[in-house]
Parts: sequence; structure tokens; C-alpha cells
Amino acid sequence: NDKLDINVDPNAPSDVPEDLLLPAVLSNFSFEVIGGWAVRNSSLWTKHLARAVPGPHEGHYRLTANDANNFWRFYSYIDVMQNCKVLIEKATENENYNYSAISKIIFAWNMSMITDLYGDAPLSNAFQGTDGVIKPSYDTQEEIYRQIQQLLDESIEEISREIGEIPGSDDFVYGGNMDNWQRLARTLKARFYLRLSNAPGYDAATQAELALQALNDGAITAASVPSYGYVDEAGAENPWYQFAIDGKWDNRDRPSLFYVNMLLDTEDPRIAYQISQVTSGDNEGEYVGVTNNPTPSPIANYSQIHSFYSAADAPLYWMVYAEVPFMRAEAEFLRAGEMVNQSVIDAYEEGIVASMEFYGINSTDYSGYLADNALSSAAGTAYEQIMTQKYIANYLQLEAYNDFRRTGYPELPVNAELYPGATNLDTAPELDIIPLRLPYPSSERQYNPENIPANIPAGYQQAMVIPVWWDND
Amino acid sequence: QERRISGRVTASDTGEPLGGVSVVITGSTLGTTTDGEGNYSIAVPSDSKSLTFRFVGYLSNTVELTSTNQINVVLEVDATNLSEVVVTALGIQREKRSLGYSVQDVQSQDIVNSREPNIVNALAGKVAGVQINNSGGQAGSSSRIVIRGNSSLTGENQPLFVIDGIPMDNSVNRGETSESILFNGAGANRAIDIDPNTIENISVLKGAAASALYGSRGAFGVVLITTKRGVRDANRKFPRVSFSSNFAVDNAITDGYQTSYHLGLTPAGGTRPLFRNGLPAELGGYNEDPDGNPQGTTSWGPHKDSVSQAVIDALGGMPTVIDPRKQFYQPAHVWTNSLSISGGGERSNYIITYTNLDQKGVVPNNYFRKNSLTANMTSQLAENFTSSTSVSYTNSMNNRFAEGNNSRSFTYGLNFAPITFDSKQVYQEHGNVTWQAGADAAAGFNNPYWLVDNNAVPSVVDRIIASNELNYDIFPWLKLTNRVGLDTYTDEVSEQVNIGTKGTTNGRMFATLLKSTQLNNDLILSATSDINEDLSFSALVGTNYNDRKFTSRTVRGLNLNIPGFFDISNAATQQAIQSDSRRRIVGIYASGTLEYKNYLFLNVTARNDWSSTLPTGSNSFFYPSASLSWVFSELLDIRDNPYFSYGKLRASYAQAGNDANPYLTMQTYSQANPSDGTRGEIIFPFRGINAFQISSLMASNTLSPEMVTEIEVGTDLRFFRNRMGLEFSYYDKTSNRQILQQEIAASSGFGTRVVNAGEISNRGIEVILSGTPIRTESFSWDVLVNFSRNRYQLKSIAEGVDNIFLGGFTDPQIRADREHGYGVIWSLGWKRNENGVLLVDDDGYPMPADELGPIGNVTPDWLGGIRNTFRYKGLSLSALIDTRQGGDVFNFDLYYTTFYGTAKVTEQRGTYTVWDGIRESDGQPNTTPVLQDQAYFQNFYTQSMEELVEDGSFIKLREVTINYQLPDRLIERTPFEGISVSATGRNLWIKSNFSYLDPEGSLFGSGNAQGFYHAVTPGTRGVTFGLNVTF
Repeated sequence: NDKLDINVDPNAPSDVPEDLLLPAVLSNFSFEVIGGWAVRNSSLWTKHLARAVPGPHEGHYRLTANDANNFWRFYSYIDVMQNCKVLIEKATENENYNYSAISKIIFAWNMSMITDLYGDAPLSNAFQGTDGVIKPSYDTQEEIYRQIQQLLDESIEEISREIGEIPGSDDFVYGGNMDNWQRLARTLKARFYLRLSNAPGYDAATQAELALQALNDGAITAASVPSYGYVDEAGAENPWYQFAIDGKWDNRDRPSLFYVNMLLDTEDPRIAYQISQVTSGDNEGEYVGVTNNPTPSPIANYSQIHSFYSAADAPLYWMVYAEVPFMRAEAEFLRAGEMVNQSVIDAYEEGIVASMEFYGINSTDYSGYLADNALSSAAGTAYEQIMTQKYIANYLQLEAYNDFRRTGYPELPVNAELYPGATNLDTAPELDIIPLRLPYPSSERQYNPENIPANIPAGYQQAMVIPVWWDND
Repeated sequence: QERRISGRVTASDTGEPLGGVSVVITGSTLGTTTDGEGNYSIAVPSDSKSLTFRFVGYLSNTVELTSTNQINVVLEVDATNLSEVVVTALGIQREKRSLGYSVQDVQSQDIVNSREPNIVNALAGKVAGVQINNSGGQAGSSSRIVIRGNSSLTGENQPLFVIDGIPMDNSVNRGETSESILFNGAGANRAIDIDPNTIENISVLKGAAASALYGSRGAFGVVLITTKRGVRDANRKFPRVSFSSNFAVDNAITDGYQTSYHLGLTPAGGTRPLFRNGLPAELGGYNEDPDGNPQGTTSWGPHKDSVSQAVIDALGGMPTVIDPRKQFYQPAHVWTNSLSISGGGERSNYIITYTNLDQKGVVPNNYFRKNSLTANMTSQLAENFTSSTSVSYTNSMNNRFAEGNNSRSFTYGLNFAPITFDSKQVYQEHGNVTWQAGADAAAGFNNPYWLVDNNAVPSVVDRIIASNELNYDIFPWLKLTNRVGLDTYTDEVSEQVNIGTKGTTNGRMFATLLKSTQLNNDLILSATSDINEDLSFSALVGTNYNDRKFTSRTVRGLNLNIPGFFDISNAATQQAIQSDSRRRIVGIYASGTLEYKNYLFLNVTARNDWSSTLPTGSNSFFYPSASLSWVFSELLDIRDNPYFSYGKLRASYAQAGNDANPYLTMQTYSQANPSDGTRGEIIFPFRGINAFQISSLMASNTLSPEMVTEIEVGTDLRFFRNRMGLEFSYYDKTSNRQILQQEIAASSGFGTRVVNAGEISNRGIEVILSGTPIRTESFSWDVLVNFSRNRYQLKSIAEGVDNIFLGGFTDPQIRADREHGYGVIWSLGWKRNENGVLLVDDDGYPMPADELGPIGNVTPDWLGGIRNTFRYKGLSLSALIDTRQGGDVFNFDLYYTTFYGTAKVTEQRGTYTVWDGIRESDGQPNTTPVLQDQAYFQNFYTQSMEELVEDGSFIKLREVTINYQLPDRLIERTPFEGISVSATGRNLWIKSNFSYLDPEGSLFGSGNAQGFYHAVTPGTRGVTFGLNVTF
């Protein structure tokens, strides 16, 4: 029978250590989740980008259960969170708590993106396939956020233990600097407290207080922004480069006409780092945005995403430091009962400065802009200013879409712009509002339909107008 | 002491030599068959008394042995009896009357006459219950063969190929491409390496009873190939030399496109379509709209006969119109030359065949070339000891091009091309420029002429199949046989994507060296015994050892530096990939046959296999079979009955177990590869760090073998003094405990799990009707009709699972579905009411359904073939009509060609149509006409995929062959023994409702997901001229 005992795969190991799992978790999360489909899509809805391709497509709010499938199925649950779970179990068993802490942060972050985009989702009953659970039940969004906060608390506590191996070059984000990971966990806690500012049964001032507390415990600094460095080699380039620039498939996802004009109209110096100037043709040297329909003249006559974000070797910023002062500004504003006070003004201005300095813009070049955009003392206007500045700072960040849904700011029109001079819209948007969620993915509809919340219809057009739980206006 | 008897067998009615006649030493199992010229040669022990000659439709003839070694025999037509001999499992020749199951064979001439380089295609239409599907028109494309329906949900459904008793590999190797078959297409199935000229006979074992002795590997039927043997002819001094030469011309079928409308469109707010010539501005681009881009993607421009005067003035004349498809596909040329030398001495015979095939495909630079050398030597080593050794070496070279959903597929730059733009001329003058992308554009369609000059997916196969069979007659009634075989090949598959290819502007390459080796041994002890005058018994016991090993080594390079140089040193990013697998089966088996008075036959088999791919402890599986044949006409006195000549009833029951693929029983990890599908990826090691993640496939350490159970009943009837025959079979086959890779909710942590689940039932009938309506001294007309239908039912998959993905995109896809069957096309249909009536809105348009659902099924209702053969003296005419009825094809090309305006259906632009349905609002029949304009085809037409589902039925005149054998009197004074010339037409006539006429393409090659027609080379038709000379 020895002759038959040969069924061991020579090309695939049956066990791997933590320092090989961690780079997989971080790299999958960076390329497929933070820099992947979700933000490419949400950027069309926040109008940072538009897709100059004949429709109907996502830019026209056509997004089917199939379109929503890969992000959930392959990128999040399988490539990131399942591996986080494997790494957490292994590291906990081996008492390598730094590894389990990092893994919990990534897990929590990815889970927040799943629930922010889809609503209720499997969590407490998930990742138990080997125990025979192939149709996990769904947790409510409220319960998911409770567990996310708990995971982040655990990660902060585990790092404090200072027990076990410390990652080194296998930690592509912080190179094993566990203090930075702890700061990131607190920053995410603050983000997720604020997320529930309007949630049913939650009090905005209390959430603001919790957020401020988390930030005060030690948030990320301009020097400890989480980012993932890519390399200018084939198969190692920045995801925005691979998606929007090198043309493997298409390169017509570009800054939107709306957004480019918004920056031009306000003479925002950040335009030079977010939008590239057209390099040839009729519009050479200009900033020209696109809409969600084919361009009337060749696509080369329109601006691309700036190389600050889209160079092959540009780092992918998982968040920007300016988010911290802007969170502080909003939290102070909410804590004061939606009132502007000096703390709000200071944090707001610090946010703009942080965003400018992120690109290396000198104070001489942004002082005028800062003065033009001084915070209004009128509460409504002030809230919009804070969120609009945060929206510009969060260029190409999924957080801009979450903030828009939560606060309604900045006020964004639906994707029905015409190119200058055009009179007809090639393809009109399929909804009259900006979508409020994604439809549940086709794989869950097929393989776990019993557990999908009954109040979310299968049809994407019907589903996408239903707000998620925390989006309670 | 023994001697060798040889001679020639002819028919009393025609005087023609008879091939395939069974020549047996009376009272023994020792025997041979005559070759195509009716010649035989047999070693006869000294104590033998006589030889018995048997052939279907003729009286058997027993000839007493005398001192002469030359016995020529004339067989009389038999009005009452049948004694056809067929090859059955393990190569055992048995009289067809004794079989309790269906076996159908195809003779040498029918295979050669099809003029198909791929042996699988040569079976099309010739065997009832067998479905063949050719995947496309490129030289070196794969073909799929399935017998009696799909029995496995996701596993291999194709039969085992056995050549001279040893199993051979028929897989499709794609090399280590990083891309799904969707984005690249598939290469050849490896049965293409067989030289049709060496085949004596193909015997198709359809049911589990017929193939039971092959064990798990025969669960989906067996294609048994027997190669030719040399014969000794005592009248000859020199070896017999046969030479054949064929030349074929094939043309691609290019139906399905509009040839009237130019590149261009009606601008927003405009009133009429404006012309563009498709050239970039710097190369003389022109757009009738002065502000517009001279390039564009869509053929929504003006009609070729009504371009405006402004255009004519600007271009200096009417725009030239071309048919891009007709311009691109070239006549294919196939040269086949085959030389064979055979002969024999007192104790041995031999045959050596060399064949060269040189096929130049319809796609420029696409070729398939094959050189094969096959030799067989059969020797009598001692009085009771014979050895037969076959060795064949094949070198196959294929140069093919990527197909599928990719801008690197030449079909993209071809199927969407406007009639306005001369891609060939533009390529020759400006390089990789298309009507929508300049030479430097990173994205967009590639010029097809540029692609076939710069990109390729070449494959070079070197293959050796060697086997030896030793027979030792321990006693006259007891024989020991050992058959050992080796099938090994290397395949050098590579991909070359040159710098400047849009979508992969920096170029890329891979080079894979793969090696497949299969070693197989059977040791068989067989005995026969006459218990008494009426009852005889034969039995065998045997063991089987089968080892399959597969290894591949790949270097893959991205971002090339030097154009056209496809060596790994030229790549800025380099990867090395290895892939290995190995599996073993050990089996023991036994078979026993009881024969009563030559009209009642009972056969029982049993086999037990142990497989390496199943968990230790549950890797042993046993399965039995029993079959009964009753020639009831023997009980009737019908010797002089002019109507009814022969009748047999048969029944069988059989099981066949099946093991898993290797390495599904242990959870593994794999190297991380962050990727977003087709747009980008991160390759590890990254920045010098490696990364692994858990496999998304959940392994199972509790797998048990699959089991197929089949019941078959049938009858063979002959009428009118054997001038007409009817064979009928009914089978009911159930596959249980399928080993599936079942997709599950990813929230479980896994994408798929390995599980034993599922029950599939296939029931069907097969009818073979043969007849000779006319037979005179000089003229005959033979008819053979094959008909089959199969009904598939997926009784269960796994708990709570209703369907399994077979292939395609997330949407659309081909799936197996519990409610709707195998090969369901699943996508978004039109909205219908509960009675299935189309619902139409108040403006006259149907609406997309709310949810995805079944919009078609690729499984045919029935298959049929009719062959008519007419012979007049040396002239013969044979025509094979092959039909498939029912079953859909998902024509995904139309999704794009209706958008781009190149599909034939868009020629109706500007006309009105009324959709046949009822209004949703008031339930009244729809009468509102809708305008079929650009917006209709671009924005509405493919909102549902239903318009892309087309009827896959066809009737094909698959082969028509005229053969002329020169009369003997013309050549009797020459050294030639026979000369014939022939002409064969392939697919000269096709009737179908499919847009592209020939619905036989499939992007998935020979995979389970059939009927997915997208970006493949269209089918071909043509004529072959042949010359055969023997001397």
C-alpha cells in the first residue's frame, strides 16, 4: 500500500509560518481591497473619477449582483479575512501577539468596508467552513461594529503585551513598528465611532466623545500614515497604475469633469497633485475632466489621475493624515451640539494644512486658499465645509463615499453631466440618487440565500436606494 | 511444430475481397482478421485440423487443412446467421452475437476518408450515442467527445482512449498561462497525435458493462483503437508498399456580419450618420464631422452607397469597401503523405508507416504539422509463445494564436472591424494601427495582421507510445497474456506577446516544458473449456497497474526589452513555476462467460481498484457487471424465411467506480498573488519577500469513490436475408456520490469545497439501422443510419445546492442546474409572465428580467447521422449527413458585434420591428413598432442576453467522398497492385439558424462548458484530393 501513499501535493505546502502569511494578508488587502474594485467604483459615485466608456455601467449606477461579487467573495472574505483568521489562530497559539494584533486590525478594517458597502453580513458565524458551516448566518451592522471595536481593542491590548516575534521586512506597511500599528488601531476606532454618529439609538455627541478619546490616546501622525510601497516592475506596480494608466484593459477611468472644475473654480493648489495636465493635443497643459460617457475627442486630450497616486512606483496611501484633524474637527463640532468653536476651527485649519503638506505644498502657496475657505460660524455651512475639505483630502479614498452617505456632504449631483457643447446624454443614470449601498453579491444569492436580509431586494436598482443602518438621516 | 497459412478471402456475391474477416483455428481462440485487401496470414499448430472464416452477413466457412499453405476462401452470403467479430474490453475479440451490450465499430476506410487531422473529428456522425464537438477552425484545435451524455458534474466526461490495449492521454495542455481559458482559448486535445493511417479499427464501448474491465477509467466509455498489423502473403517476393497522398483546400466560414455600413455614427443632436475613415489624424484621418475624432469603434456610419458628397470630395472618391473577415482568412492547405511497408515471414510479420501532415490554417501563420512513424512487429517466439510490439513516435508542431475575450485575440480586431478600414494595408504601412487606436495607444484593439506576425502560442510535442503484448499458451485451453504500455510525451508550450501589443504594451512570454508519462500493465490469465457439446465456458483473471505522472516547468517573463526576442533573459520580471502530479491505480479483475448452444451467452465481470487519490482506508472500491445475450432466432426455423433473418435480445447491468483527482484530501497553502482579474496583479516574491495564503479550496479527508450504475437492454434484428439490420439500445445510467468541487458561500472562508455529492441520471436510446437496398454484380447501395437521444436529469447536487458552475463569466455562464439540466445558459433574460409570454412596456420594448435565470440549454435533443454509399465497379460515392437537433449556442460575439454595429442583424438598422409579446400594463398584445437604430442595438438589445442565445441545431453534409479504383486490367502489367484516386468534400453544405452558420465552435475547447461561442476561429469547409497506390 506504500505505492498508493503518494497523495501529497508536491507544489503546495500544508502549513506555513506567520511571517509568510502576514505579507499575503497585507498585500491582498492593499491591492485588492484598499486599492481595488470598491474604491474604483465608489470614486465614480463620489465623482472623484468618471468612466468615459459607453454605458450603461457603474458610472450610471448600473451595478449588478455579479458586479458586486468579486469584492465580497474573493478579495475580502477569501483573500483577506480568511487569511487573517488563519493567521490570528496560528499567532495566538504560538503567542506571537504582534502578528495576531496586525491581523485583527486588517480584519476589522476589511469587515468595516464589507458592512459599510453591503450592510448586514456574516461575521460571528463566518469562517467556519471546516466545521461544516457553509451557509453562515448574518450579523446586523450594529453587531458587526461592536465586534470591530472589540477586535481593535484586542489588537491594542495585544501589542501592549510585547510578547512574541516582532515582524520585520514582512510587514510591508510599518516594518514591524508596533507603536504605529497601535496608533492606526486607535485612528480606526475613532473613524468607526464617528461612523455611527447618526445611527439609530446612538448619540452624536457621545460618538464624538468616544472618537476624540481614541484620537487623544495616540492617533497616526503625518509620519506614520499607513501606506504600501509599490515598485516600477511588471507585476509589482501600484494598483491605480495597473488599473487606470498602463492600459492592460482600458485607461478611460479619469478625474471627473465635476471634480476637476471644482478644484479649478476654487483655485485649489492640490489640483497639481491630484490631476495631471494633458500632455498633448488640443488641451495640452490644461486640466480637463471626463464624464461617464465617451469623450467627444480622443481620450488623450483629457487628464489622468496624477502620478502622485498613479505612478507605477507610487505608494498606496491606506488613509491620509488629514483625516485625523478633520475627524477631530467634526467630533468637536458634534460634541458642542453642532456648534463652531475654536477647537473646531483649529482642527479644520489643521486638516487643510495637513492635506496641503501631504503634497509638499508650501504655506505661501496655500495661505490664500486657507483664507478663502475660512470656516463659517454658521453651523450648517461649517459642517459642509469640514466635510467638503475632508472629501478633497480623501481623494480616491473609500472614506469619502462613507462620509457622503453619512453627512450628505459635499452635495453631489447625480452623474448626468454633459461635455461642454454637447446637448444629449449618451446614457442617463439608472437611478435618480447616488446609490446608498451595493446589492448583495451573486455568490451569496446563489449559495447562501436563506440568510440574506429579507428587506434587501435582489434587484440592484431596488437594493441600491436602501440606506445602510448607520445612514439614518 | 507449426506452420503459417495465408490467403485471400472474397465475397461470393461481389467477388470483392473482404476485410475484417475473422480467421480462427477451429476449436480454439487463436485467430486473426483479414486486412483491407482480404488477405490473412496465421500461424497454425501442427495438430490443427481446420480454419473457420466468419464475417457478418456471410455463412461461416470451415476449411480443412491440407498440405498447402495457401488457402483462398469465398464466403457465401448468409441469409440466416451472423458472426461478426468485434474488439471488446482488454482487446478481446468476441463475436458480436455473444455480447450483452452495445459496441459499435468504425473501420479504417471510414476514418481515413474523413480527412480529419484530429482522430476525434473522424468519428463525427458515425457512432450512435456519441457527440463530437469541434472547438474551432484554427489548425490544432481541440475536439470534445462524449458518449451517452455527461455523467460527471465537473469531472472528466470524455471516454478513455485505448490504443492497442494501453490507455493513452487525451488531455489539453495550455501551459502555465496566467490567464483563464476565457481570455486565451485552448489548444489541441492530444489524441491529435494519432496517425489515422495506422488505424485498422476503432471500437466504441459505450456503456458501463462494455467498459467494466477498464475499471474506474472506463466509467465514461472507451474508444478502443486497434492499429494495423502486417500480413504475410506467400505470393509475394517483396514487401507490400502502400502510398497515399492527399491535398486539401479549406476555407473559413465568414457568415454573420453586415457588409453595408461604414465606420462612424450619428453625433449627439445630429440627424444622420457621419463617416469616419478610421485613420489617426497624423496618418490622414478624416471625419465628416470636422470637430470629431477620425477614429472610432462603431460601424454606425453611413450606408456604403449613400456617403455624402463631402466625403467623396474629401477622399477623392467613394470610400473603398472591404470584407475584413474574407480578407483575413486565407485558404488553408493540408498536405498528407503516408508511406507504409508491410510483410511477413514464416514466424513474424511487420508493418511500418510514416506519415507527414502539413496543415496551413485559415488564419495566416497558423499551422499544424505532424510527423509520425509507427511500427508493429508480431513474432512467434516459440510454438506457444508470441510477442507483438508496437512503437510509434509522433512529432506535432502547432503554431496557434490566442482566442477569447481579450484584445490580444485576433478575433477582436477582426469581428468588430468596419468595412471601411483596410487593416492589412494599414498594418503593412503603419504597423499596429486599428480604426480605433493609433500605433502608440496602450489600450484598444490590435490589428489582426500585426498580431499574427508578432504574437503566437506555439506548441511542440514529441510523443512515444510503445507497447508489447506477450502471449503464452500454457495449455491449449489456458493462456497467459502480459501487456505493458508506455505513453510519454513532452510538450513545449509557449506564449509570445511582442512589445507593442495593445493591452500588454511591454510584451510578455512564457515557456513551459511539460512531460506526461503513463505506464500501464495488465497481466491476464485466460481459459476456455467446453463443458459438454452444448455448453462452453471461458474466463479470465487479471491485474492492472497504472501510473500517471505529470510535471511541468515554466519560466514566465514580463516587460520585454528587445522586440521579437522571446527568451527569458529578455524579461525585466521573471518567474519560475513548477507543477507536478502523480497518481496510481492498482486493480484486479475477473471475467467469466458461459455459452449455451451458441445462442445464449452470459458474461459476468468483477473488478476491484485501489487508488492513490482517495484517503487511505477508503481507497478500495469494488464493482461488478453482468450481461446476457440471447439469439432467439436460433430457436426459430427461419433458414428459408425471406423476411426475418436474425434476432437477438440483450440486457446488462454494470457498475463502475471512479476516483478523485490528485491532492484533494489535504488542506494546502499557495503562493499569494493579489490580482484583480485581468487588469493587474502583484507577483511574489515581492521586494524580496515571499507570501503564502490558505487555498480557497477546502480539502476533504473523507472522500469516497464515485459510482456509475448502468442498466442497458437492446436488440439486434436482421431482415430480408440480412439485407437490413436494426440495432436498438436503451440505457439508464446513474452517477452517484460525485466528487465535486462545489462552490460555497465565501463567508464560510472558502470559495469551493471538495465533497461527495450529487446524483445524475442519463437515459437514452440509440438506433442503428443498416441496409443494402440494392446489391447486384456491379452496383451496390448501402445505407447506415445512426440516431440517439439522451435525457439528462440532475437529481441532486449537494444539500441545499441547486447548481454548479461549468464555465463562462460570473455572468453569463454555463452551469448544471437541478431544475434545468446540464449546460444551462444562465444570465439575464427578458421579463415574462408566469406562462412564459414576453412582457412589453408601453413603448413596445421588452424589459430585462429582475433576476438571472435560465435562458437556454446547450444540450441537444437528438443526434443523427446517415451514410449512403454507392458502388459501381471501381467507383464509389459515399455521403455522410450529420445532424444535431435542439440545443442552444450562446453567441457572446453578438454582445459586442451588435454594439459595434458589425453583426448581420444590425443591417436592419432604420427599420421597425414589433416584439411578439403582451403589454405588461394592460395584458393586450403588443402592436407598437420600435425603431431599430443605433441606440436600440447599443443600449437596449443586449440588456437581456436572450438575443444572444441561438439555435445550435445543424444538418451538415459532413463528408462526401468519391473514390475510383483503377480496374485490374489496366494495371496488371505494371508493378502496381492497386491504384485509386479520391475526392472528399467536408462540410460542403450546412443548414443551421446560427448567425455564423457553423455552430460547432467553443471557447472552452473540449471542456465541460460547451456551447459558449465567443471569439473563436470559425469552422471551415473544403475539398481533399487523394491518391492511393499499392505495389
